[in-house]
Amino acid sequence: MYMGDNTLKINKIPALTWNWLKMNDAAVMVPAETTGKKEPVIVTPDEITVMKEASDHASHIPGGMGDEFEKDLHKKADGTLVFSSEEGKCISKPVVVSCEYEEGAVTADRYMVRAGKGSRISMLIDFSSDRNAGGFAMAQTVVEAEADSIVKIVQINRLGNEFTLLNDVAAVAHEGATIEIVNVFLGGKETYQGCRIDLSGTGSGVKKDIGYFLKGSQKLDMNYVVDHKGKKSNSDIKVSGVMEGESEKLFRGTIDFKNGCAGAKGAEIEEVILRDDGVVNKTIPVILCAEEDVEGSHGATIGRLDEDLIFYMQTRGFEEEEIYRLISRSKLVSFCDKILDEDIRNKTMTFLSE
Amino acid sequence: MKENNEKNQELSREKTQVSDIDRNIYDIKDEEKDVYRIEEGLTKQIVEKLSKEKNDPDWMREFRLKSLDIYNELEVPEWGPSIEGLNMDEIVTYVRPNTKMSAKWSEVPDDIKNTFDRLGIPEAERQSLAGVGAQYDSELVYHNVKKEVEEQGVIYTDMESALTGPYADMVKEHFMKLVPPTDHKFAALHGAVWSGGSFVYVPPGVSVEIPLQSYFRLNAPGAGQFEHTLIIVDEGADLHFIEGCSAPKYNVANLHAGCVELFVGKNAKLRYSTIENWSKNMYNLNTKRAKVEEGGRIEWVSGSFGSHVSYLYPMSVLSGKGARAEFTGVTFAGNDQNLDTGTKVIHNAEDTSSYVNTRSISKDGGTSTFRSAVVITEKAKNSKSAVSCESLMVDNISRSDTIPAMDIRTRYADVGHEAKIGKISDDAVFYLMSRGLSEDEAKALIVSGFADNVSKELPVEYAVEMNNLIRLEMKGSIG
Repeated sequence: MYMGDNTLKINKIPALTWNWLKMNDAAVMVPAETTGKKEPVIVTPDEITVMKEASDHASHIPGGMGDEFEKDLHKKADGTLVFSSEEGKCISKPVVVSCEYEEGAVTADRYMVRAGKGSRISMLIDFSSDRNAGGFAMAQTVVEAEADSIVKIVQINRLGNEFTLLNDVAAVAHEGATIEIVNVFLGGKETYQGCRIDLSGTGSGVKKDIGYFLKGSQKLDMNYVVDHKGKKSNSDIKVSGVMEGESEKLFRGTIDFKNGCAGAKGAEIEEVILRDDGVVNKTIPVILCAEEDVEGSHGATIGRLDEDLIFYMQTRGFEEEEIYRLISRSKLVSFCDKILDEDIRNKTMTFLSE
Repeated sequence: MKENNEKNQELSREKTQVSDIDRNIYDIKDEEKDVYRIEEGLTKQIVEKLSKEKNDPDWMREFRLKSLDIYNELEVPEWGPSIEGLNMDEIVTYVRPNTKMSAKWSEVPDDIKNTFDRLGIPEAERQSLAGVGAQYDSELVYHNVKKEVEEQGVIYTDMESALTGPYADMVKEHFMKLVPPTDHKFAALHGAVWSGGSFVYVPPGVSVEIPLQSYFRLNAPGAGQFEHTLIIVDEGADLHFIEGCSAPKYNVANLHAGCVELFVGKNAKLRYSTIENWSKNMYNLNTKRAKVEEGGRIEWVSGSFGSHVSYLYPMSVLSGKGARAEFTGVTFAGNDQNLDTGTKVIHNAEDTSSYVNTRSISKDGGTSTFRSAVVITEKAKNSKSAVSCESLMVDNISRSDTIPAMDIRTRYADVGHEAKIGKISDDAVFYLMSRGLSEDEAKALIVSGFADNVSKELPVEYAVEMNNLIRLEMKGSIG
């Protein structure tokens, strides 16, 4: 609790359902002011231009967390740090943003990635702190992917046990552009993740890989939305997680086929391994459709591991508990492999192993 | 009389011949003669008057008034289709037809009898049912059960008789216990103004071989129908209950806020089938719920075709070890329809299982929403649930949404969910056209096949009616 806290309603699902399920949105107490600010360490490849914009051009792109969050962030953040790639440039090295927070920090940061036509750019944001640290971090990454560009955003949560993170992504993909989002959630006490991708261009696409390992009383609240507006746009959302202890997770995943997105395809799939009885696992995968010529699907598998898999592993000499531990870890390792920086990847693997 | 018979024969032909099906069967309006209509609106005075008209016992009168208070306190849900067109100040909550309930068709007034004849109710009773209840507006006008079923100890009667007869204590013990008035605004409305409906009790170990049916007909314009269905299937017993409903179309809003409470005992089985074909000025805000004890099984079969707006989510509460629920549903939303349908399953005991299989079709600007909730509590170890929903978009001006929710709180659970949305395959239409079908016929056939999961679960007469409804809805869908 901080002085002058106010409560924000965030992560509102685009199509509401029964209130008793408590899945429609989330309410979170937000400190009134930032404090203990430590500038993130940013490593930028030479080909990328960096500038700070006061009133940013990006604000018209809505994120997944909603208006209340964006207004609050605009008020608190010291402008927007914009990373741009020039038309046709293919930049292999990522922008690496290391947000290493100190105990008690209250931060608000806003980033933007502008990918010029036919360019390729990637960005890695690593949220971290001491293992037992507490604090409150708010961040938003805005992406504008011009025609035929490719943007990859990787975000990792390695925050301390008492940290709250509100992290949002707001993106638009123009004709032929592709956006790839990777989220790995390992740390923090409470994490709220928003993400809204506007596939406005013909043939635009998004790929999302979301992995989490929740322990103790960790809480993860997600709201991923894909708006298919462009013809033949494509979305692919994969979510995989492991839950232990009394952890809580809510995954909201919405594929919204708008009228006019003929030929669009969208798929989302979630796999959750539950390892304890005290967990609270909530999932609401939504498909909204106002267009005839589309293909949409979602699937979820929740609970225990497949009996055949367990049997096979047992025949190889593993105990059931060991099998769960191995499979759970392997699920997350596949997400860690997508981390673009070796040092951060190693740190993340270490965090996962602890 | 002869004229009536000829007309009935003609209409009966219409109903059984697929090529001739006509919505006129459902749209026939009877003139209101000598009916008792309570004033429009919803006030304490109206509820008291209704209670007096129905000779309620004191507890029921108090229950109604308490429900009215709850209704006034609760908000209209903000998550579903708009019900702005429904003005409770203009709804008549009680319309009593000019007859008393009878066990003989010959005693039912001609105009009402003719309507039910056209809908095929007495014919169905003769051919394939163990008993029939027919409700017209707010009251049952006919109720009969076959002698051999009665001799098994099966009770099938109207709710009013049950409320004051030998089963009064049983009714009081169960009435609105599964769906309390606090559940939502329209459950509270039902508690305040309910009227009509059926009470069924199947004693332990009794298996009712052929189904019972209640048919609900709402004739009065601007009226509401609030029937209450209470079914208790005791230990080891088995029943199939069929519910049908229809109404002629008016230019004013009609309201249906019925309530169905099903108690399925230990190792008992109940199948509850519904073909809902309300007129397209109807707000269908119905609540259905089943509680299933150890080893028991509830099977819902649901076809939703009618109504302007529908909120319909039969709920299964699996409260005994090994209890099972199945929900098979099809929803067809056409022009000016917003049908929000689905199901809820609460697993609250070990070894419980549920299977949900639905299809929805949207065309001509209709909106179909599949909404579900599967909740597995910490107590429900070794529970399994599988949900499958598929949606078909027939054109570009319609909507189809799926909003499935899952809340799982034990590691010892296996939950699977899958959903698909798409259009009618061009290849399939092309193939059927190459075999001599027109595009209309090809699409209707594909849609019928798409909804096959429900029709194959119904007795053949009802499956035929459902397929007829699909053909009727698909008529003229090209261009």
